[in-house]
Amino acid sequence: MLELSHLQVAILFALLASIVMGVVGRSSDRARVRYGLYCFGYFIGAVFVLGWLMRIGHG
Amino acid sequence: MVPKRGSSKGREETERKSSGTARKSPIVLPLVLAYLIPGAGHVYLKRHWHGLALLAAISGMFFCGILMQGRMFVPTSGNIYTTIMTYGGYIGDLCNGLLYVLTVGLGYEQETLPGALHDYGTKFIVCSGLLNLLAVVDVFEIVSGEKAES
Repeated sequence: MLELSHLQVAILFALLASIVMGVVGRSSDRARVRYGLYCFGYFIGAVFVLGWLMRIGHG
Repeated sequence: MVPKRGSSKGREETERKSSGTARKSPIVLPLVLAYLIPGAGHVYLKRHWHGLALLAAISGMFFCGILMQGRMFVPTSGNIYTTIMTYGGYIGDLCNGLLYVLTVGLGYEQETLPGALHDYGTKFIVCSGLLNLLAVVDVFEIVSGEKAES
């Protein structure tokens, strides 16, 4: 049984999804790494932005 | 004019011919392999590292979903929301290929549990199926020659 916090689950999902998107999304290895990092950054950015929006929205 | 053997033009022509041969290779087998085992289609196409990365990421997400005690969707007809949710989730689960078949075949069954983590697990299992579908589409693009390696 895996016991993870919400943030840990979100980071794990971002990491694994970014690997797949990096591999299938571009056609050269350098571009793959860059695109994977780009996706990971956007996932994490979205987690923080949406997290703060929910925090502010709930008061 | 026929390019000399060993010259750069000759090499280009040979590479073009060999890539033309690759395009004629069977299209179904790598697609079926990619569907059944995440990354196997890429390994079959001699892209070993890509295949291993896909295997690690997709099966990692699937097993994390199982470890979080995620639930497999069972197609249920009811109101429109239930039908779309359960059938959509079921299709996502099926996209995991052998991982799904083996897990269900070995008797994995999970009832709905309270708490967010189990729900995340359910979504992890569906998302791993959808990511596997992306890998299958990538294999199709490679085999059909739409995606060139640079």
